[in-house]
Amino acid sequence: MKGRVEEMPSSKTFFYAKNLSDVFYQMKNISELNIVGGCTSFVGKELPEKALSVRDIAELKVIDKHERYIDLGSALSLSEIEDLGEANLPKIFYEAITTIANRNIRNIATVGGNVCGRDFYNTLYAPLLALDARLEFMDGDGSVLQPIMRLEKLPENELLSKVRLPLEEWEVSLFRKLGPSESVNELSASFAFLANSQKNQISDLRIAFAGSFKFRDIDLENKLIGAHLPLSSTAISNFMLEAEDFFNQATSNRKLNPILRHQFWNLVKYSLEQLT
Amino acid sequence: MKIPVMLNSEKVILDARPTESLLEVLRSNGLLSVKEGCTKGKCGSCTVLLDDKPVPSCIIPVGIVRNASIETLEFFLLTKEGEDIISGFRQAGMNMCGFCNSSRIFSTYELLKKSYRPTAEELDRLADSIKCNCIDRKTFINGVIYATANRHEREGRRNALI
Repeated sequence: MKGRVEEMPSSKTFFYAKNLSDVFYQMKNISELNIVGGCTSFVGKELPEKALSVRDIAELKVIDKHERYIDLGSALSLSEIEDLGEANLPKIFYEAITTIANRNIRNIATVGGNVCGRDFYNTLYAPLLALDARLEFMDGDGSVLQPIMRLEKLPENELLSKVRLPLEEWEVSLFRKLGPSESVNELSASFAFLANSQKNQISDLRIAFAGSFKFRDIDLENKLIGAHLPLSSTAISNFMLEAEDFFNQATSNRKLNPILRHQFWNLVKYSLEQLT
Repeated sequence: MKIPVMLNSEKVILDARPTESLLEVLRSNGLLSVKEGCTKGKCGSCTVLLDDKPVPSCIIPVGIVRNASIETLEFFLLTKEGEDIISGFRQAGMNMCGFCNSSRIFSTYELLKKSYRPTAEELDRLADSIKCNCIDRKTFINGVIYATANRHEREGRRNALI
């Protein structure tokens, strides 16, 4: 076998890989293999039975900045991304990173781990949804760049290799983390709002919410595009009614804490008031 | 399972289950400067340098640190950087409780590595990140400023206090 395997008295097994081809080889040959980075999402939980550590794979630690976007390797730690500074990242994404846990945890937690939460959409998810980020998934045969908006569930047997962030300028950019600051519970969620205007009209608007479920609806956003600035209080109230309907529809088959529901509406209202 | 690491500048092979926390393994190897606190990575008493960055060892399974470099306070305080910081803390009259030593010293180290002369905002952020109340905020910030000055003096740079 190409990769090294270490058996231990307990049933849990850790696998290691030196490079990406080693990773794909092991993913192909070992069933139910879980990719792990910093393992911070397993605090207070059991580690998976079979784990493959990708912490040291250089190909997954790439930072590649272009004119219109920046690619961040999935094994980059959150502090490495934070150190790029606000000038090199979308403001909303930078703000979201700085709200995650504490600096010491950000030194070990990876961006891939934050995006690939199995049962919860973590802090970075709402800003990524709002920014129209793309995720690059790889397997042994090649790679696919998938818009995060269209990602219903994480692909099986594929590895998240990059997160591509568009570097657009936003006139209004608002991020709020809800729930406890350094842990995750049923009240945890993140909210992102972005808006741009042209000739005193809203030209682009994004509203995203992520926690136990994710919410972004382009139809809802389109209802305000073209609206004249400053927004009147009537326009805001009308939009709030629409937002309530869309949000209720999206959460109709979920048991959502009423506090979160109210926080979402209040944040939408507060964000729109920034446009008055 | 055998896990090769560079522990306190020496090549060592740790013999542990990969799911054990780095904290447990370091303490069982006699490195008692690594304290057990909240075991959730929040309090900072188990902080060590992993690949030159402060991390909470209580939440890190030892399996993922293969081939990494780990430094604990026992070793770090013997280095020049450690001396700068600890003598700066002494100059400020800091008397640490023992549980927050690693968190204060390693966080200061990280800040000084990143910033030639920490700004007031950076110092505030650093003080905010320390959860222990054994030393008041102002004294701690003074300690970091003295540590910066010590480092500049050692490196022959312009002093931070001027």
